[in-house]
Amino acid sequence: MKRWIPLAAGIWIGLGLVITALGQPDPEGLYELRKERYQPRLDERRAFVQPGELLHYMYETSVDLQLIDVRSERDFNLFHLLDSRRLNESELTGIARLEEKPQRLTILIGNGEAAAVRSWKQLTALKVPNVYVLEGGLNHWLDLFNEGRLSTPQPSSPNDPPQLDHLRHAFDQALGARHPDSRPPKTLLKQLSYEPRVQLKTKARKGGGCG
Amino acid sequence: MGPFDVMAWGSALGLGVYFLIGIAFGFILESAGFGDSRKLAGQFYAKDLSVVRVMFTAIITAMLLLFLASSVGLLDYSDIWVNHTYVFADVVGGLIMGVGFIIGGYCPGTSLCSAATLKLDGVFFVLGVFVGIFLFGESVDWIREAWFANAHGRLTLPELFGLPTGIVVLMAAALAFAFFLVMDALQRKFWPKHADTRPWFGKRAAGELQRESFPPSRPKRVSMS
Amino acid sequence: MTLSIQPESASVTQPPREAERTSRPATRPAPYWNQYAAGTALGVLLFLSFYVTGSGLGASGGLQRIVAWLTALVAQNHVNTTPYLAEIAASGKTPLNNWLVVEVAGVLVGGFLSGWLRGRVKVETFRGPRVSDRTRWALALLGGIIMGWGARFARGCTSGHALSGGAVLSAGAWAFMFAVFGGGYAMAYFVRRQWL
Repeated sequence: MKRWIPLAAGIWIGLGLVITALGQPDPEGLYELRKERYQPRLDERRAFVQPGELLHYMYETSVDLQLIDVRSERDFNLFHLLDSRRLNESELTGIARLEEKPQRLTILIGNGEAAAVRSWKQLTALKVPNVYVLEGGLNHWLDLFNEGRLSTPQPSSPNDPPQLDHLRHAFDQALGARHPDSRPPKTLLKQLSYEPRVQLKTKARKGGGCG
Repeated sequence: MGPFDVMAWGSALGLGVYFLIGIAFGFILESAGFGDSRKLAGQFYAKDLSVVRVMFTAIITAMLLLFLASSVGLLDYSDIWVNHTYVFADVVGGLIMGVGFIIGGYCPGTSLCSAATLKLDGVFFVLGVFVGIFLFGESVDWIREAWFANAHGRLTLPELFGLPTGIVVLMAAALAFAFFLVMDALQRKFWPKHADTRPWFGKRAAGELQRESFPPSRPKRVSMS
Repeated sequence: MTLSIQPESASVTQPPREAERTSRPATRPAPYWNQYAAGTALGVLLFLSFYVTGSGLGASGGLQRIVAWLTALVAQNHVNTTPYLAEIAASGKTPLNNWLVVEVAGVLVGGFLSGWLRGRVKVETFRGPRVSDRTRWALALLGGIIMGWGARFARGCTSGHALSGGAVLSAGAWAFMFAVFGGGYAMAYFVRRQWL
């Protein structure tokens, strides 16, 4: 048998086994590798969108808004924002895979921020553009909105500890999106002030290869 | 960590990198003899096996290097362009291209090498490609639905099979090896006088690695002994 | 001693097979590279391309831009009103100032360089022994048209889609690859006159 054949086959198989043993970095690992690039967005709060801004985008028809709820099914049934959909953290990679629409704005929604931030890290590491976290989560949202009106006094910023991630509010019935605060009326925008954080990246990712 | 935003280095330097890559690509293709349509078409008669050998060796080699680099954190796989999957367009387009390949004798990349070395059939092929691309632009509105059918985005084989990447890589390597052996055997069967390799195993395995089925032409005549 | 020469093509000067079998390098023509070695070289290049630029190799994308540019030269209005062409070459855009086109230019240069250094640059036509030059040219043109259309429909040609897409394990690319081989093998019998 020719000398180089077993050598080549050995190299191929050997490298293949090394690849299998080492495994590929998962999204958390990928995030860690590029941490310096992404962490500032979290630390400087640039990746967090305030409730007022989210309300604005709920009525902004020119932008394709995608609301992703990363909470448990039980919490989701109790209350969720209108047109939001629930995904497990493991299903997030499915989103990253599908056709990227540069004008699509993705907002991750949790009870607090912890779960949503974890999901944000995953999607950002997978290069999904325009992903933000709802600041304060639904706990803060429900502090702010009260039966389709603004609470008085208006809570300024979420003061929950960051690890708090269970639903602080109680519900008599599981209304889901039928709850009036699932999409507060547009008129409230005039009374709300917020710091706009969303910067839509419109440039589609470089389409490589032969095209 | 790769990959890099090459164009951010400046458009001259960035484009220069792509130019160099293209030169290397064309150089290797022509060196392997892919400027010769008889070799390329010969694949489909098991007469000449250079396409199968070069292509699959290249794919596996690149694959091994890519995923090794990704495993050790040298390369960010999510930043790599992975062709999106449109099942209908991929399968039907592939069949059409297979037909075009055997009729025309080239594929767009190799036809460029052929035309660059002044082969007339290569030149005609390139002109045909221009026409074909133009016709596609005119017809795309009618077939738009088919063109976007069965979209699965950036779907990779490990995701599809639910297997670890390394296992899929090993499967691909095994497939390539099997393909080499089978094609070699077919070539020896159908073109015994023409076969350019000896068997890999067994007594007759010794000897010269490879003879050329379609030797390149030279201006000088070679004297017969 | 009889020489078993198979007349491959009337238009190609062929050294006798005997000279090859006795492996006297001085009388052999510059051979093509060993195929597995060439494949390995190509694979390394493909990896480097991905590593540095994030994209693989490709040809039909650049050719598409050239087509759009040429069309814009003669019919700019048509280009502006056809979305497929407009996104590349609408008024004010520079379709040629793009890495795909530059890479295609590189392929031409590289192919020429390789051929020139080995004495393979020569005006000739590759074909099987049973067809004429003209027939071959017509079929090359027809094949090119089919390939050009198919390459855009499949969103890539064998270099970009099969080779590059295959290396990164794109599911669609592998399906494409099998389909190309399938289509070629299926059609091979019907065009055997051209090659054999």
